[in-house]
Amino acid sequence: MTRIILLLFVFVTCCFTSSLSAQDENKDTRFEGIGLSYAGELGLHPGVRIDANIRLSTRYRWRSKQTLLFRPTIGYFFRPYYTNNFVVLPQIVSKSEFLEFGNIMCFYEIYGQMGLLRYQYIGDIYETQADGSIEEVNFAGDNAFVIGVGISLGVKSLVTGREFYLGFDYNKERTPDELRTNLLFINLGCRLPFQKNTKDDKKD
Amino acid sequence: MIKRINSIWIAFAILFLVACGANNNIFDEDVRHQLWLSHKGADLPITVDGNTASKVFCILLHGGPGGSAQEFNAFTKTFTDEIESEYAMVYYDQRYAGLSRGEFDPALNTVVQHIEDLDQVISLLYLRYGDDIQIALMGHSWGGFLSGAYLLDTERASRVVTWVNIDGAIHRTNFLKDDMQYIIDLADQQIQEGELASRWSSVKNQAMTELNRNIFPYDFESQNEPFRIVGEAELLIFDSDRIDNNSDSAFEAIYFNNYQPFIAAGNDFRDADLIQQDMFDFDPFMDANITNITLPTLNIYGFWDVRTAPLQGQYVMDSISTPESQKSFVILEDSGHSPMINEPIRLAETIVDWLELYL
Repeated sequence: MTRIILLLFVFVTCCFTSSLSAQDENKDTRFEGIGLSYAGELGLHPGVRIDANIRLSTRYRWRSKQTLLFRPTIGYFFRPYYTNNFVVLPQIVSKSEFLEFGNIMCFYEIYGQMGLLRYQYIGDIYETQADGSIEEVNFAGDNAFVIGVGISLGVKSLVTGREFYLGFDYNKERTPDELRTNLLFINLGCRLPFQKNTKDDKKD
Repeated sequence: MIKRINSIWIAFAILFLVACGANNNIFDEDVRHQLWLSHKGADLPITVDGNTASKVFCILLHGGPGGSAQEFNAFTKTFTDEIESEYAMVYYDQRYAGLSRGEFDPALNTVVQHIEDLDQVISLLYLRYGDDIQIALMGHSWGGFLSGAYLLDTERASRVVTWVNIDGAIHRTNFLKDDMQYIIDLADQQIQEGELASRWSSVKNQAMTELNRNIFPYDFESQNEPFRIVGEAELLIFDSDRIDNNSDSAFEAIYFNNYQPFIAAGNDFRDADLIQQDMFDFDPFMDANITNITLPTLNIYGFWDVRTAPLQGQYVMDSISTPESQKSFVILEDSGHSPMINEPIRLAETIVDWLELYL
């Protein structure tokens, strides 16, 4: 439990400081937009993720624009007849825009993520009591620490600023009993910009 | 923006409805109930599938230790559907095995704790479905051992109507010796038939050497050599194409059922030394108390099963106190250690025919 509280503290602190620094335009840090994606565990266990992009820094290297992002992410995925799963997965993202043709910009992202998984059992849940009896309980489940890496490939419209991407991430799940389980996700989604004129972004 | 937010909520609502699934009646001819039982730190998934209207519940204990009963429901539906059309099957993953979750406490990974867990699962079935239900206890491999161990206590046994022992390794030390003896006999037969004679001859020699070491009792370290020989014999049986495998697709098991490969693998990777040693230590108690078993008992073993040789079924037949007319020993000629995938229909029909006699 202490570990969970500690992780939540780190997460909340990260979000708070990021949003504070996002207010300072001079530091090249700003809130860029939100994303919504299908996030299928093992591909076809359905799930969704919502994230927000907070730009931390930008630089130009060779002929590509590279951006460092902080991306708070929340998500849900479903394992049939087993668990409903909720994740809070802040990501640190290195995004590279590498190829432009017409009004389309191609990009790839490499990211690391760390956060919490909360899983709740599907079905009728019972618990044995100290006196030997069995009672039905609600919302039983557990928490797990999750750490992982991912990669995504996408395109961005330079006119509307919308991005469409396909990603894959691999996570290790550490449950309270030290059991490690792999979580594999395929993400397919889009991101909507907070401001439409992204030509300005190219001047950064 | 409001439209976008609404879309998100609608997506969540759809997912939630899918997650909730259909709400089945308690008693019906074709239902599926997903239950969980939390007991002493372990969260045990229990799937009740089939004809609950029959008020007959067949608990199928998985092998291992470390296997999964949910695998039977997900991968061997030809076998399970046949029984589910008549009765309700109960697939329960034991602590630290299959799809079970919760905290891992090595001190609780014992035969006695597994017996207690099973007793709680049976209590849950009576609590949920009423005192007028009947329970048949079935176990495969280690599950056969566990179900046998459960029935040694006559008070516990009174909660069960019949026992179906499928390839059960009932006596841990003897079953390793039985395996070696059975491999020798099988090898003689195969050499005579000219089937992969040189390889069978080699395996036979290894089995004879192991038997001549005269180890008694075995322990979790000394069991490795006989298991290696068993593995070689199984490979020979596989290579000689003696048995069929009729497993359902992994795609359906993972995406339309509850099978979670990484969670099952994570549990399976755990060290099983402690529980296996506990099984060896349990042998004298099994020997001393197996005569307490008086339930109608069906023993089913595969002819090609060198992992738990049919001699273990004979041990049960010779030792329990069930009247002769109420115990049976069936050999499935085209099965190895997993008749659920080798002869699913025949296995299911054998069990249903048996249950019809005693329920």
